[in-house]
Amino acid sequence: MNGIRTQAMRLLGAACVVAGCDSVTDAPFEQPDARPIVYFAIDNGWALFSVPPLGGAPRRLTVTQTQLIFPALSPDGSRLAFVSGGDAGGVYVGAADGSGAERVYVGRPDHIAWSPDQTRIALGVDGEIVVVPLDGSATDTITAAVEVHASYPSWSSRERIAFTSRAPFSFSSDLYTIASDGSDLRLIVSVEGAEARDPAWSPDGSRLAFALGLHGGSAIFTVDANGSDRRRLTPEPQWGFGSTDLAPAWAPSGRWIAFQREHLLCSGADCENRYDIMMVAVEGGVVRNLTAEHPWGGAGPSW
Amino acid sequence: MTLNGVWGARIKLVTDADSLTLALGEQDGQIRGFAVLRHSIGAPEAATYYSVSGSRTDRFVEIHLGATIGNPSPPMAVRAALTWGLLAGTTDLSGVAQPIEFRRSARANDGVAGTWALTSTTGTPLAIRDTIVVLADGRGRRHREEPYYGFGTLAIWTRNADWLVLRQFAFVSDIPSRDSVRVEANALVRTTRLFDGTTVTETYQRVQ
Repeated sequence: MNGIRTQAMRLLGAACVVAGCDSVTDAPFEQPDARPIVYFAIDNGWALFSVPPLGGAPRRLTVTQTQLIFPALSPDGSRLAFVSGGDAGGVYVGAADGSGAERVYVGRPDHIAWSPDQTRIALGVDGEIVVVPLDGSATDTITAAVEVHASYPSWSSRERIAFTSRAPFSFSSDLYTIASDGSDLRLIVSVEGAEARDPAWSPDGSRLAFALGLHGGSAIFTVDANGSDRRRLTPEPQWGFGSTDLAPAWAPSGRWIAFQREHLLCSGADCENRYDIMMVAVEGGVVRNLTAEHPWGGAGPSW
Repeated sequence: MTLNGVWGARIKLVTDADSLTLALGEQDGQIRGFAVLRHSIGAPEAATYYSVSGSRTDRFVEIHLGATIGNPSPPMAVRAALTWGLLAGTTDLSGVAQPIEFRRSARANDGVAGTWALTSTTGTPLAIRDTIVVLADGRGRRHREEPYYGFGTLAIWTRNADWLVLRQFAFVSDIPSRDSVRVEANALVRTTRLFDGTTVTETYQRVQ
């Protein structure tokens, strides 16, 4: 364990020298967190990749479907769900590397969330949260009875589903949770003039990570399940340096958070505006770019 | 004195009337942004875009311009000192050192500075989200999200009568280099005529 921890701190220190850091954290890196982060990127069309969080080259997953987005690893990391926008479009579920995937839903949701027992998935579809049993039984629209325009579900180990609600063309959106049977709707985050989006439950279901800000300038925050104790993890966007941080995903230990960052990445004299997969300790501090050395960057991480 | 803002200089490329505009952000001694090299001959919109990275130590600034689109151009560097509000030094454009003096570009604010978000669309909606950030120092940002397309870009803005003109850092070819919205009492308005002859009006409200 010490070896892994030392390696992690050395890598984080190197990233600090290259990319600049707010401060140095000493968060421990635990063995379960070493499992690869899965994300999507453009490489001759949309494709799925995995990258080891301790450092190493991203690897493209060999998946027969095409136009692949929104990967979601199951809680134990043994299965992978994703959306294919190809000819046989829909939601697919397969092994952790994407192999053997079979279509479980026809349609294109905005996000996929696994139930804690891995028997169902929740999807954001046309402003509703739809629960899809993987045994082929009937789907359930759990937001049908509440006044929300729901998207981007995340399913907690305590059987609550977080989602964001944004009316069409509104520039603000709120973050809600609801019991997985569709009861007990609660407003968790509402900030006037800003979007709260992309909620993600911590593995123990006690906190939520989410993005907050206007489109084009958002940061990652965490908050208690009841909406209290809101903490900022990534800095205020700054012109030229600033970034749009979205789509947080917790490490299995709950000690780290991966997210996607849109930013101006410079190498020597050349800079490009792109998306990368970043990670930061849940206490904040060093932000490490996991995909900086790779031409395709990345978005939509799942850990 | 911060470098944050928009800086303009004359530069001798084809004629003495060519110009180089820098839009700079500064943080912890690092500089990021973009540059627009405008040629005095050719089409009015003929311009080369560069990404900008660099560093600052006290009043001394070193800026590298690279990764061009538009008219192919070699990378170049600017080494200058910030003195009395001027950024004066040399550039090695075309491999020949020449003096260059940047002045901060003034902007008539007219109350247009702020953050504007797309709040309504008439006709068929084109975008899901669109945010225009107008900073008082002449810099801007633009983020637009459409159902199957989107972009985020740094920008420079100017006023032309009732119009707010954004010159966007078109670092890839599918990002428009210019955009214009009409400034109304409490809104920015863009009208787009589609190929089928219909018109879409997008309205932005100030949110910050």
